[in-house]
This record gives sequence, C-alpha cells and structure tokens, in this order.
Amino acid sequence: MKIHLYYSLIPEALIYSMLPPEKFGMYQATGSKRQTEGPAIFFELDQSVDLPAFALEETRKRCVEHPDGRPKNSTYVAVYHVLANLPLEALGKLYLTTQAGFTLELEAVPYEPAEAERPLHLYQELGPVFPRVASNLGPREFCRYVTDPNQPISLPKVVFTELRIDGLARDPRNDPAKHIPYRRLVHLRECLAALKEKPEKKTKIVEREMRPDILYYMIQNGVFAGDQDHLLYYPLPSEDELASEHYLWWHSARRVRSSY
Amino acid sequence: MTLGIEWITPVLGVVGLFAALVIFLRINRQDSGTGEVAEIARRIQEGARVFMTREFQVLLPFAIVLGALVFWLKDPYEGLAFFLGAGCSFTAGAIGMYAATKANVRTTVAAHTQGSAAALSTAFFGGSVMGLTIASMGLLGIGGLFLFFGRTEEDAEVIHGFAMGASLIAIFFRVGGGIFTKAADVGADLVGKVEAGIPEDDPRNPGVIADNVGDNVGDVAGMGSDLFESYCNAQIATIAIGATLALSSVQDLTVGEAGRSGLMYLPLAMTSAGLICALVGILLVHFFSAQQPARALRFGTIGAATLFVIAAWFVASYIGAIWQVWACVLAGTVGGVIIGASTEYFTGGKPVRNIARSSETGVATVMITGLSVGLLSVVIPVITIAAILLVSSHLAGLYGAGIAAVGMLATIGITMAIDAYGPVADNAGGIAEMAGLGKKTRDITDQLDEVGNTTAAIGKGFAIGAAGLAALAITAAYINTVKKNNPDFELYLADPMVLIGVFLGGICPFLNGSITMTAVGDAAHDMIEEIRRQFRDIPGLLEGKAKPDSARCVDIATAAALKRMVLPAGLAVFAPAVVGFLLGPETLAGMLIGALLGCILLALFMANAGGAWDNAKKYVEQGHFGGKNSDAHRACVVGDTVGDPLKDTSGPSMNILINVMAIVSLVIAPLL
Repeated sequence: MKIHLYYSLIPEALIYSMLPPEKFGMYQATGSKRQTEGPAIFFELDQSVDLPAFALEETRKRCVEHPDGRPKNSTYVAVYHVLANLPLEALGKLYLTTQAGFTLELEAVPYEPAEAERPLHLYQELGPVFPRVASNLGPREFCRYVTDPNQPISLPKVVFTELRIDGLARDPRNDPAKHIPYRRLVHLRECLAALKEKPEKKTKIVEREMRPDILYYMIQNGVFAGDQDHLLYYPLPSEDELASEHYLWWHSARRVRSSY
Repeated sequence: MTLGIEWITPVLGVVGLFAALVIFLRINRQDSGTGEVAEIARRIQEGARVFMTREFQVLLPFAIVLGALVFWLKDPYEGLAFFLGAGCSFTAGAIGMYAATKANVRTTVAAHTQGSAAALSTAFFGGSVMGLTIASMGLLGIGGLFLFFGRTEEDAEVIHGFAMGASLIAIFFRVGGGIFTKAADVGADLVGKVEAGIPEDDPRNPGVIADNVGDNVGDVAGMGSDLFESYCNAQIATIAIGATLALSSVQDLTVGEAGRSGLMYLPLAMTSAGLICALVGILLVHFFSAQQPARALRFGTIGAATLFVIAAWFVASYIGAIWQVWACVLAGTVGGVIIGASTEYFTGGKPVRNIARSSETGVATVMITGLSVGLLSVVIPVITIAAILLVSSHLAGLYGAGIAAVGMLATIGITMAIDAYGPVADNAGGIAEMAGLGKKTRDITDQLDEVGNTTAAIGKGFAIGAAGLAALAITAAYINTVKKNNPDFELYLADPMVLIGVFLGGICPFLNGSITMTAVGDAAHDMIEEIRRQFRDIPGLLEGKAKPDSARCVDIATAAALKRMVLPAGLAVFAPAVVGFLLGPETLAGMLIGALLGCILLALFMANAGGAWDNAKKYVEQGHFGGKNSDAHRACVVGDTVGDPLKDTSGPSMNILINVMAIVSLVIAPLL
C-alpha cells in the first residue's frame, strides 16, 4: 500500500498516511467515525526531496496496515516548526478540504497577476501563523515583506491566500460591501482606509486568529506559498468551473452553518 | 318559494369540473421527461399517494363516527350531507394534489426545453386544476343540496352537515400536511445542507423526496382544503343567516318578490358568478404568460376580482337584493385586497429590511425585531375585518357580514390556483436540481419559485381574513339558530357564563399552537435521526455511489404526521361540543368569540412573523449586511428556522380550528 507524506496546515503537522489525498482530507475533516468536523488544508510532499530536519525513517516504519488489513490513517512525524524546515521544492499538489470532507486538488503554476492590481488586499495566512491581514501590497510583495529577515518580526516561509473584498479594495469607507461576509466589518473598513491613507504602512492585522469556518468561496485568486526568493501559486478554478466541474466541493464550500 | 334558477349553480359546478379536466388533460399531454427526471417525479407522486391513502385510513373511522352521530342524533339527511361534504373536500384535495404532482415534472421539462413562458403556463395550470376543482366541488355539493333542501329555513339546516364534513377533512389535511412538510423540510435541510454540506434538493439526501412530497401534501392539499372549507362555510353561514332572519329584515334587504329565498340563494349566485370570473382570470394569466411571471399572475387576480365586482352588481339586482347587499360584497372584496397588501408589506417591505438590519447585532435582535413585526402586522388586517363588519352590518345587518365573506372568497378558483402554483414551481426546481438539468433550467424555476413565495404569503393573509369572516358569519348563524330554537336565549357580555366561554375559547388557539409545534419538533427529530443513520450506514451515499432510501423518510414523516394530527383535530371537534352540552349555549357563544379572536390574532402573527423572518434571510442572501455565511446571515437563518413551523404549520391550522369549532357549534345548536 502506498504511503503518502502530507504537510497539514490545520493543524500544522507532518504526517505519513496510507490514505490517498481525497480520503485523507475526509479523515482530517470528519474523523474516522464522522464525529468531528473542521476544514483541512494540506500539501502532498515530494518524498524524493531530502528533509533532514525530521525523523522520517523511524516514523515511516510505524506507518503500517492494521491487523485487519485497514490502511493506517495517520502517523505523525512532527507537529510544529514544520514549514520552517520544509524546502519549497518539496511541496507538491495542494488540497483544500471542506468541513464536510470534500477535497479539491490544486496544482502550482507560475504566478502572473491576471488583472489590474487592486490597491488594497486582504490576506488570510494559513501557516505557520494564522492572522487575517489587510495590506496595500500585492501577493508577491506581501510574501517578500512578511518573510523579510530585516523586519523586526518575520517568518521564514509563509502560506497564505487572498480573500475577496470587492469594492472595498478601492473605496473602503463608502463601498456598500455587498456579499462581504466577514465579521467586524467596521474594523476591516478602518484597517483598509488607514492603509490607503498612509501608504508607508504596509500591513494591518484585522483578525489575530483564523475562524473555524474558512471561507473558501471568498478566495480571490488562489493560495500562495513562498519565501524571500520564491512564490508558488495554486490558482483556484473560476466560479463557473467550480460550479460545473467540482460541483460537490463548491456547494460544500458555500454551505451555511447556524451554530457558530 | 323558489327562484327557478337554482339549478345554475350545480350545473356551473359541472362546467368548472369539466374545465379542470380539460386543463388537466392539457398538462398530461405535455412532455414529462425520461430517465432520472421521470424517476424522481414518480417517487414524489408515489410518496404523495401513499400519504393520502394512509391519511384516508386514519380519518375514515373518525368521519364515520362523527357522521353517524349527526345521522342519529340530529338528522339523517344532515348526516348524509356530512359525508357528502367530507367526500367533496377529500376529492378536491386529492385531485388537486394529483394534478400538482403531474404538473411539477412537466414544468421542469418545459423550463428545460421551452423556456420561462411555457414553464409558467404549466405551473399555473397545475395550480388551476386545484383552484377550479375546489370552486366546482363547492358549487356542485352546496348547490346540489340547495336544490333539495333550500326551500324552507328548516330544510336548510341539512346543508350545515356539508360544512362540518368539509371542515373535518380540512383540519386533518391542514394539520397532517403541515406537520409532514415541516418535518421533512427541517430534517432534509439540517442534515443535508448543514451537517453533510450538500446542496438543497441534492439527490443524495434521503429527505429530499419527502421534502418535495411535503410541498404537495401541505401546501397544495392542505391549503386547498383550508380554503375549500372557508369557501363552503361562508356560503353556508350566509344561507343560514338568510334562513333565520326576521321577516322585517328580509323585507328591508330585498325588493320585489325575492324574499327569503332570494337571500338564501344569493351567496350561491355570487360564487357561481365568481367561478366564471375565475375562469376568465385563468385565461388572462395564460395570455400574459410571456410577460414577467409576477405581472401575469397579478393581471389574472386583479382582472378576476374587478370582473367579479361588476358581475356581483348584476347578480344582486337580478336576485332582487338591495344595492347595499352588493356594497357588502364590494367591502369583502376590497377588504381582501387590503389584507393581501398588508401581508405583502409586512413580509416583503420595510419591516423585512429592518429585521435584516437587526441581524448585524445577532440572533436575539433578529428574534425581537421579528416578533415585533409579527405583532404589528395583525393591526391592519384586524382593523380591516372590523371595518368590513362595521360597513356590512350597517348596510345589511349580520347578513351583510356573511355576504362580505362570500365576496372575498367568490373568485377562489384563481386565488387558489395562484396559491397552488407556488409549490408546483418549488417542486419543479427540486426536480431540476436532483436531475442535474443545469443552471439555466434552475434559473427559470427559481424565478417562478420566487414569485410563488410572494403569492403564497399573500394567499396566507387572504386565507386568514377569509376564514375569520367565515367563522364570524357562522358564529352569527349559530346565535340566530340557538335563538330560533330557544326564544329565552340572550347574550350579555356581563354574564359570567359568557365570560367563562371567552376565556375557554381563548385557550384553544394556544393549545393548538403548542400541540402542532411540538408535533413538528418531534417529527423532525425522527426524520433527522433517520437521515443521519442513512448517511452513516449506507456506504458511498455521500460520494454519490449509492442511492438513499427515500421511501423510508417518506414513511417516517407520514407516520409522524398521522399520529400527531389526531389531537388537534379532536380538540377542534370535541371542545365546543363538551362546552356546549356541559356549560350551555351562552358559554359556547362566548367560547366561539374568544377562539375567533385568538385564532385570527395568532394566525396573522405567526404567518407574518414567519414570512418576514424567511424574507429577511433571503434579503441578506442577496448580499446585504455581508451576504451568505456572514454572521448576519447565521442570525437570520435562526429566525427563519423558528418561523418555519409558525408560518407553515401552526399558523395555518388556526384558520381551520376556528371554522371547525364554529361549524360544530352550528350543527349542535338546535340540540342545546
């Protein structure tokens, strides 16, 4: 049985598993008895890339089938400082799993800004830390900025996505913000307006923690992973393509919960 | 003395049934699809048929016992009229539902292959079969009985049995259908959309077929039987008032030789004219179907109502009623329009936007604002009812109140058609989604469904107003009948026995509301457990590799609805009898007044609060205050979930409760 190596972002962990990505996503999201629930985001790693920071061999030996022949769901290699010790070239395909357990596969492509740059942006960091950040930098510049070792606080690498803010990107104070579901909208407006009015300020934290309901359907363009020198880009298919080609995932990603 | 034209009413009933048959055959000839579409439609049809059959098995013994009691204790002919009324009501509901389950899939196919206009025509014609069947069965049944028993005031009492039979079926259909539809809806939504994360009407959801069956048994058969009994009761109560009027009053209300016979036949003459106007309205909708759906439906209803007001003048003149009687009809029709407009405002206007705005501050404020809107929404309709009563009683005494109710309901053929159109369009959308017919088809059915939601809300307001006036007329007829049989009978508000009755009557709608809400909660719980079990135990169901056991969900909703509908029906039938025989006719009169007020107020409050919460959620879904998945939306979803059983189960059952209580009182009045 093939053993996969996954880098999970929620929670941050390096995991061996005998489950293929779709089943691993379902397992991460809902548990083996469908008794838990939560989104999962993970990369499949290229096992030919050397990862000296982790005790891979010993862990891999523990990832064996159950006595009744069932595949091993997960064997943890590490649960923190994973991204910091992971070379970007090890990152393979990215998988986004909804809370109900439906998984969408994304592949990396070179990043080319497809449209006229918006003056303001909202980023959700997905690892190794999870703030939601407003910024007047485009994705590539933002990645360089937060991984800049000359800044007082920086990350060695970062995975993040840009969230839609529609008209707020140009007129944060007056845009009606239709279909903008984020909480504390007034605070978001203030953060964006401050960045617009004081361009020397590059980022402002909107939320310190990630909410349990990741708004996949609000992703502007895709997911980014990068450091000072490299930027991997995993574009999300268009809304029409999602609705027609990835129907189940798309509906699941847009679902409503009343219990938060 | 007879007028010699009474035969027209049952003949028009036959004509109406023939028109319904022609429309049905036209629908039936349309393409009903193949493969998955046909299979889904078959399962919905089968589920509805199973529910109807089992409901019949439960209510049959109930009907036999009550009919036998009327037969032996009151009058054999009245007992037979009871069975005729029950039969007509059941047949109207069954035919209408059968037509709706045929029309839904054809609407889907029409939307897919021909576009919006053809889909609108098909859905509306599907509802028209129900509307015309109800109006025609009413004319055929009451008109037929009137031919034999409309000659003298004593004979006319036989017709009361017809109303009681119709009301009995109505309470079972309305309450049973209401419990079924909400249990299925809540179960399918909570587990499917919220827990499993699959879309609405997804074929993998085991509860979706039951949800679609519920639209037919609750919103088509339930609403139909509700309006059928209001329609019949308004006519029968007016006949009863006409039969028991003092001679001086008869002379005041008529010119020439019309006399009492004319006043007794006038309600039937009005509804006969109303059927013709409804047929014209239905044709108008068909001709304008290429336009916006909302506009086409409005042309039909306003056209039919305008035509009816004109026709009513000629009918009243021909029968020999004074012009003031026609003015009462006009007051009823205008009152119906005002109540409809008020409902439209409170469930679609500024109050809805206020609820949506309050969602920015959480669930509690959504609930408070929604409750406030619901409470306020009763004011205009109740003032309207009071105004109709004031105008009509001033112009033509209690008879005026009865004929105003008849005026409001005379064009039921088209109002019911528009009501039943909504669930047909809703079902059509469900079938399109389940069969994966694509976004274009779904957009058309969604557009039709959206219009259907508004018409359904207006229809509910209209049904409550009509039921209130009909119950008022029956209560007046009850008081007249008791007086006639018991010359010492007097009603004083200060009489403690009357006040006791008012309090006892006031309890009934609250008790009924509690029973029906509990029933929905319990039935939904059973449903949720079953859907969860299927998702857990059927391998590959969520992945679309296995089929759900939909029949099991239909069975659970059916069993739950049938088990829990008996208690509200028992309350409505036996409470007035127990109070009447134990505490006397004065207390029963007080009870009817208390129940009438409580039922109208609660029904309006529940229907409008529920509708306003529902539309506030839809308003937020359009993007306001953050749109879907925002905190505001989550708060509105809670409001909508609470409002659902209010507007679709408990609220509508109030109409029937008061009418059943009133008609049972009228039937037992000579025995008190």
